[in-house]
Amino acid sequence: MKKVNKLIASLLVGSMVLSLAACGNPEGTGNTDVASSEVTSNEASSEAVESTEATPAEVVKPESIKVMWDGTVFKEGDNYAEEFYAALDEALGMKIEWVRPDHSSYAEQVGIAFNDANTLADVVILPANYYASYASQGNLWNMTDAWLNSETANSGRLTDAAAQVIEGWYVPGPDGQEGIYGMYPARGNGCITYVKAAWATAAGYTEDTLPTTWAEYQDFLLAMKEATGKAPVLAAGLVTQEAPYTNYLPEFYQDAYPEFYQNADGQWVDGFSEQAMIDALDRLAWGYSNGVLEASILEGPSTSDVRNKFYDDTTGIFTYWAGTWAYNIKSNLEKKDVDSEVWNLKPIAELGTYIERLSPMIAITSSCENPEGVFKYFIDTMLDGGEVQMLWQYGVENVHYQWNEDGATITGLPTQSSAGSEKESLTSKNLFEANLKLANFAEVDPYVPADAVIDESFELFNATSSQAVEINSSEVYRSYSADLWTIKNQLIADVTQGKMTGAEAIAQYNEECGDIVAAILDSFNN
Amino acid sequence: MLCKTCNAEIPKKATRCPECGRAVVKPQKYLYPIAVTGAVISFVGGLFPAIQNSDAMKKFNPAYGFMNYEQPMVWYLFMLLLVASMLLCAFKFEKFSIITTVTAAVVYGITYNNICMRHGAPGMQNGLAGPIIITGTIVGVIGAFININKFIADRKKEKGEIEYQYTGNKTIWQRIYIYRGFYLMFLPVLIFVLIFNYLPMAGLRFAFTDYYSGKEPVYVGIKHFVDMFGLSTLSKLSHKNFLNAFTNTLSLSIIKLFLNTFMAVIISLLLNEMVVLRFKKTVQTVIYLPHFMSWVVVASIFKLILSASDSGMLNQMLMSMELIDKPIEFLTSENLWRGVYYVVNIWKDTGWGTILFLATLSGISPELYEAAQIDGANRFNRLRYITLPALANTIITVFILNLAKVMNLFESVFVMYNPSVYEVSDVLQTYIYRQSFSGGTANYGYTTAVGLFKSLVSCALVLACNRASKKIRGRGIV
Repeated sequence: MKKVNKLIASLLVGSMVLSLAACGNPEGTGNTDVASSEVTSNEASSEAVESTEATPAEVVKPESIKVMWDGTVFKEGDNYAEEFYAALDEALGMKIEWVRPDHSSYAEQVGIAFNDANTLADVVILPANYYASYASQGNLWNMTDAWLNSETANSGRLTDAAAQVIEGWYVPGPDGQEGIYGMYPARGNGCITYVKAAWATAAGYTEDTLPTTWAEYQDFLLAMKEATGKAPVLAAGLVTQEAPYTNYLPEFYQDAYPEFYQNADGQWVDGFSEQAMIDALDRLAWGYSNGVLEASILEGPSTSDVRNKFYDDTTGIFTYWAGTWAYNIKSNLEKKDVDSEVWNLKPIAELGTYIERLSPMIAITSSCENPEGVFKYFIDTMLDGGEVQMLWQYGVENVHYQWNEDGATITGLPTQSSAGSEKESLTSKNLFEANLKLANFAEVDPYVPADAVIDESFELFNATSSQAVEINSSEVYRSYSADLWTIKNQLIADVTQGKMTGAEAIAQYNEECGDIVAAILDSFNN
Repeated sequence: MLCKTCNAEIPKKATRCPECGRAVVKPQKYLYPIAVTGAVISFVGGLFPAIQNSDAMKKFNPAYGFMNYEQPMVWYLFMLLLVASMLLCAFKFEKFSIITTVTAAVVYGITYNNICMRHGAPGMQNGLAGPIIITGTIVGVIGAFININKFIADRKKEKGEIEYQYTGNKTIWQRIYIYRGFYLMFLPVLIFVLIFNYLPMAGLRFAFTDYYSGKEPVYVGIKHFVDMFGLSTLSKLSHKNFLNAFTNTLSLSIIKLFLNTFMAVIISLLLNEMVVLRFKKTVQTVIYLPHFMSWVVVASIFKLILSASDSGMLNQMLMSMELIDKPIEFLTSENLWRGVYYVVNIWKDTGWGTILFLATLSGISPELYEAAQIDGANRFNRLRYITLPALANTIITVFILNLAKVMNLFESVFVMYNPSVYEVSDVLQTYIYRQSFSGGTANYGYTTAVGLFKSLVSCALVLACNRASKKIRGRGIV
């Protein structure tokens, strides 16, 4: 038996040695044509995507599609979402399967969803920075041609602002060429600074004498603190983790941008290592040391904490979204019995303009088997200027809104809470606000603002805002961006607390991150 | 077979000698550790690159591995064959392990050949996988013939030592059959453990890949470990952040463990001294309650108390008493944050930690205290010579059990930390969280590598503590 075992063992070992020896010389194994044989599954999938573009066939209407969406449209159990789903299915003539993770964890969930191409939805909505990453990785369908030839793009109904917004949709694809990999039917909106009239009046200011420069703004903040004994400014952190990063403290950051951006010469540069950032950090330090930035700003307050402190009259200045939020702020102050008069602060001279963020993007994934059909019958209809646009913009007739007797305008109906009870507020929008839409209706938009403050804040924002800078992504950027943000957050906090100056912080940043920044810029510029 | 006593022929399957009646004991079967080692070496080899430094490789993909070969099932087959080898050795079928070990090597050889054809290029170097797998296979095959345990046992017998193992004359299968009821009851647990504890371990292979959300994992060998330990050009920052998180995890956890255990013992002793039962029960209930609050709620409560803003109750109180003129930054000062963290942890978990100690204390015989009292021992001496020695075993057990969890610090830190105190508060789990979800697409490969390292350290800590326990107490608990 032992001999048999040994014989079997010898034979097996021999066959192993032979199989290894067979590939001992890699140069002799036909490796000269490496490029042709080296096709990874990813490349294969991206090629498959491109091939569908190259051979335009008859566009087939899909019977059903799977859509992954965050909390920006009516959600199940909240404000009659089921009626919206049913009405949209009927209007589009196809069945939509909705995947709706919780809004607060949507970014995580969509990241996980991309790990399995078999279960990935046909259409996803993506935060702007995710959009750039997935486009560069080849996970999204290149819809440049589809968009340029679409009914919406050629309808003549696009708003004046649309051209600039659509420019922001172009991001580098897997081949490095810029293209449109997603769209959004509205502008991204942005934040403006709201000032409580009572606080400003107590500080000796009127609406006409509000500050217009940084120096005046500093005096204004100090006067408010003097008059009320409270720190007037609070934001959800010193810097946000989502582009455009500085939108909650625009007066302090001014022209500084803590990420990579393309300068006027078309070169990608690191905004965090520029002089503008040193100055911005010193302004934050001034704000904290003089007690005009509320101390809890360093303790990581949520946006909800910040809103509540504004409603509770703990703070007097709040930079937040223009539009419907202006009305929400006013009504919440009224509920709390706090003087609800709020003034909109025009951007100070050094800031120039408020920043219009890049909107989240609706993209077709590379898992979609019929991207042309999904584009034509789902995405291109969002701004059809009629029935489908009404659904996306306002919801369902007689559920979310009703037509007024004049037949030309609508009134929102009471919203429903997730608990099922009706709330006092009226539905004002579904996915996007009327003021932000990228295409007009074929006829007159039936929009009537719920309150004048909504239009006032939009007027100021529209007149004084500029589009946020483009986002880029590369493999080396993806590898090290989390580490870079860790040190950026630390340095911003350290300077604000007075542990170091802005110049010292940026010197430390350059020393510790110089190699990584250089590698990222190299990957962006070359 | 001949009887060792009377030299008579013993028929097959006989349990006793037909002549003298001596019980027939089947020869002892021994584990072949060298064969197992060979399989383990080959298994490890499967984690290393097949070819590397090829001109065709991309900048950040320096190695091409068996693991991300276009047919990943082949890699799974290879690994399964080696696991089968180990199991065969464990069940004393070491000769069959030769087949599986060598088949695994053949699978590798064929795959390697194919990889060379697909991805080889001028200037290519062989990866470490080949030499390691060949070594493992040779060791595995030779090991299947070398019965080192029998050799050791024979040497012991020669020295007159008694074998420590008792096996009886029944095989493992016979024993399983006899106790089949128990094994049947254990089966659901085994299946559960295999599915939920062992199957997910297959994900550990991503530690050796670049795995971005939305992309197929690409094998990069030990690149992430190189980054973690700062051995590559661009990894200085990653290493700094990782090292900071690692040292913080150890220091925060171990100090917290000592403080919580110490406080739990102290409170247990104090509770044990209470004579009014109703008061004792009330105190116990009150100190248990914080354990049932979520960390989010606990953090919110302490933020309300300790905030440096106008809403911070403690600061406002101290300022109104004119003890301080400006708020103390309890939550954003590097010097104070850890102290606050320990206090919050003690507040939340100490009460719960007293349960085991109180149970042990209630089991100490009152006669011991009475005898000591008669002998003139005062309260301190009774505590020193009776109570504490009785508690020692429980303290060590609790300590070891908690030590297994020291690397799992997340929620308590996540809800309390902020960028001002990253330097003293960032732990491995929060570091992994930020790496995964702080924006853009996450590299699950790097975070899995950090997680794997964390698990290894955790395992080492438990084994070290168990060994220390064996040294001190003469026995361990795992």
